[in-house]
Amino acid sequence: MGLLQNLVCSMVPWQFAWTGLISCACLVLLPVTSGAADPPVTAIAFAPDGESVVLASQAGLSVHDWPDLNTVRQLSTTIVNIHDMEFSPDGGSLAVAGGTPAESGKAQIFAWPDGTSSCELQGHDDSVLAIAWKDDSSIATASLDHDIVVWDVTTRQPSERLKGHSRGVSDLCFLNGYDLLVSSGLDQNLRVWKTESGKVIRTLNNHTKEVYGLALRPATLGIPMIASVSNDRTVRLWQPTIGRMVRFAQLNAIPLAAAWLADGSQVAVAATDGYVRLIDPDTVEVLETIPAVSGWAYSLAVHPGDGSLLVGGRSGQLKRIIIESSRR
Amino acid sequence: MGDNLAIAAIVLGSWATAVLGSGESDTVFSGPQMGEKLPALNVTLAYGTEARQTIDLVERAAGRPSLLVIVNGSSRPAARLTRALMNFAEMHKENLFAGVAYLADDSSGAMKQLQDAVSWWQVEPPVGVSVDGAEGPGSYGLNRNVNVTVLVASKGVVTRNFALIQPTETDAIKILSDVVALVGGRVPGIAEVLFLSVPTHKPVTAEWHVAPQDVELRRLICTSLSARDAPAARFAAHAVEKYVGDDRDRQTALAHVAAILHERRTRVRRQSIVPYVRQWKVKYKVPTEPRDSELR
Repeated sequence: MGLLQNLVCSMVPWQFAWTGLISCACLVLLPVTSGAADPPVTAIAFAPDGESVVLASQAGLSVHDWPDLNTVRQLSTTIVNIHDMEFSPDGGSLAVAGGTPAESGKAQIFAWPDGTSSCELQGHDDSVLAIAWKDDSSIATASLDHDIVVWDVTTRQPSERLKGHSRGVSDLCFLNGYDLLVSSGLDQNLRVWKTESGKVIRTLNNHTKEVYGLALRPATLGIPMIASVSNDRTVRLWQPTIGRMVRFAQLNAIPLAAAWLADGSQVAVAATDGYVRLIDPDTVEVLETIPAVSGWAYSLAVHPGDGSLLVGGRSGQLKRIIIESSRR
Repeated sequence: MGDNLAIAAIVLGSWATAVLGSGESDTVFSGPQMGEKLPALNVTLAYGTEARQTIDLVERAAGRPSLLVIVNGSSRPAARLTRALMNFAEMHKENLFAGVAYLADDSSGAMKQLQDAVSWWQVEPPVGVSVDGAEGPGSYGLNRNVNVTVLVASKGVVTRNFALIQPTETDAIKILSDVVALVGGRVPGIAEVLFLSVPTHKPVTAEWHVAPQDVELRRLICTSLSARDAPAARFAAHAVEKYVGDDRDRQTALAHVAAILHERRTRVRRQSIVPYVRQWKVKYKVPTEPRDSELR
């Protein structure tokens, strides 16, 4: 304790509250323009240069400066319900995914930083819940229609359709050095796919309820590690290249999103109780429990430069949490 | 005939391609792997003077060579393997710590189950219900698809891990090879393992024979089962008879052993010790077990 500085951004102007004073230092940042009628922040993506952050919600896409979080501009999108966003490896594109439940799911790619729409990828019968770049010209989308589609962005055509999950696919993660794709599903499973052949090579079935999200540990020595969050109130750590569940942390709330600190020393988890928990991957101890937003904390991202966390919640709530460098 | 063989070869080839090509024939992982530290393993003990107390098996091992068995769901094969391992461990308790952690969602139900099923689970080393529920401690990363996870450790670090989806007594031989590498001694053969898997406890009303709780007698019987020829068997049998002597309790225990060794499942049929077992059966006579009606 005492190593964490907690910077609070109470989003609603008239609720400019001091909350989450759990550590030695705390200060309030500027509020994001928001109100009680604002929809939840469903996805957060930091620009590669760390100068800005893109927020997604049913209200659309907005770009904010960092760390003040002032709205810089809106991006016009044709996607009505956005569930996920990711910048391309070269930082030149932003992919956004979502759709209309039980009707269609699609992705839209924007040139970055100018924010112009460069293409749309349509090929799902239900909402797209997750999107992940394989490389600068190839991207995968995961949908509630049970399928994963790998797209060639240059031709805008699907190059592969991966079928294996028996329910919706909630998240994706490429292990590029291993030619593997890991997916998580509402069917309680993680599946490991060989990207070259499109075949499932491994099913990891230790979760006992729906799996909501994945987070790949930043490059560390040894076997790659992925964290998964599930409705069974656990965060499980996996080595998908060998099919091992290494260990798990049991929580007293349902985790909704996970992100690793930049050095891979801890995994941060946002949960339905509005708290963010920092978990030590070696001991699976919850090191810190940080109040972040009121209600569900839907989204979470780690700033590529300063390592602070940005948490998104209902009514457009956002909270920035600074992790001291000694903890990173 | 030739056609049938060809068809069989095609079917087998297709199956092999499907299985091997799928990559689903992976190593099964459960629990800490070789070289990893053993985290705390807290259990509430089911038997003995410390029953109902919660202890950390790893703390109790205090860095000694250890054999930990983690059971995920009661099954007859799991119980047999566990008994074989624990009864062997008891024979080496000077150098080896052993313990059993039973996983269950309902810890009080599991405790009652263990206390009712003494013939299945009661052994001398500590046996308890994990306080961490059906998946055990999160830091262990136990695989819920695995029935029995066996950890061999020394100085608090895992030296060997066995994840057994369908355990059998024969798994004991490879497990005990690693244990013997740590603590010395001899790796038991299959006849010894089957003998060691025989319950040492039973409900008072049960009418069948139990293996001896007397560790020295158990050790001597194991030695006699390992005898490879008639001279070695004679030497081992003599040691057994000398130990039993005129002690009535030991004679009774040996009579039970003789009866057990004649049971089909211990597979003691062609061992050199068989003639002596027959003699013991006659000499010490299998005591008549009290019947339920007599006990009432």
